Amino acid sequence: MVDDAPMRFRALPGLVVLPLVVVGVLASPAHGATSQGCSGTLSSVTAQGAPLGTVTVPSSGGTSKDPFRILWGDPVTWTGQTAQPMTAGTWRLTVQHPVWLFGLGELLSGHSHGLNGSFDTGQGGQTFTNSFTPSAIEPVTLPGTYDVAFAVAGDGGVLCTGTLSVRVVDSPFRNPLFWLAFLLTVAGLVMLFVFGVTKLTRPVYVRSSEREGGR
Amino acid sequence: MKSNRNRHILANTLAGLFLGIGVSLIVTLYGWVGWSSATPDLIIVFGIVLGLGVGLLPVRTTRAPEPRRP
Repeated sequence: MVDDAPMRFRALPGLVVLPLVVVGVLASPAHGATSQGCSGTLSSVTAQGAPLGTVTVPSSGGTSKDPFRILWGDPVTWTGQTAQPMTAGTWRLTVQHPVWLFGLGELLSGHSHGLNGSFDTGQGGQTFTNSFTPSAIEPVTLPGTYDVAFAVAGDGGVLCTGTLSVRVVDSPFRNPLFWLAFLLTVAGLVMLFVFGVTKLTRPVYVRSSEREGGR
Repeated sequence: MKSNRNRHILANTLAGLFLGIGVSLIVTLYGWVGWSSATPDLIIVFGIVLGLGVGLLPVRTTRAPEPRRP
């Protein structure tokens, strides 16, 4: 009886290394939250009002490994301090390197262009507090980790910019992409173990003449 | 025998493709890997490469027993 056992293991190291390499490429660098022209704190809560995430900018937090956690439909509160006083201004949040999946309409409507708003405190100050809801109207959300940039422009030329990593922790079960991925995974496992894989566990029998002819 | 081997290769290639896309998409949706403009393309490429990798794994062949002569 002849068995090509060494041969069947030849490609296995590649299959182990490949996912590690791809995950390494996909993983974002672990930069902390940055800001220029201001400093501040962001905090998010759950639907029940329990604290969900807090990050200070600039700081070593808000990285891809330790992102600021939010829910699409629940409020995010921010407090900022600037070196110069300002009375009114605008703020803007944008997702960096937007995914073409954003083009699927309602999946993330509006977010490819960012969220924006304005504020007017009525009197000059250097400390500001505001809150916003990422989106309370999304029928379908795209959870995951994003690199987000923010910019606040105030009167008198005050400008505050920064970046941080944000993880949207809404349940993936509400996203059709999750169910597509789930079906693909189940189908892959079925094909692997029922129809295919068996090349690793169940040998293919060949006649002697066939083996010699193939070499 | 040849069709049996081809069936293995086809099934394994599709299985690797489906598993690669499915698992990496779930990993991304759970936030373990960040969304960026390249992520969807890399998910597809990962599926294709994993599919070809699994599909082209050498088949374990064993010499069939010779038929007994009466």
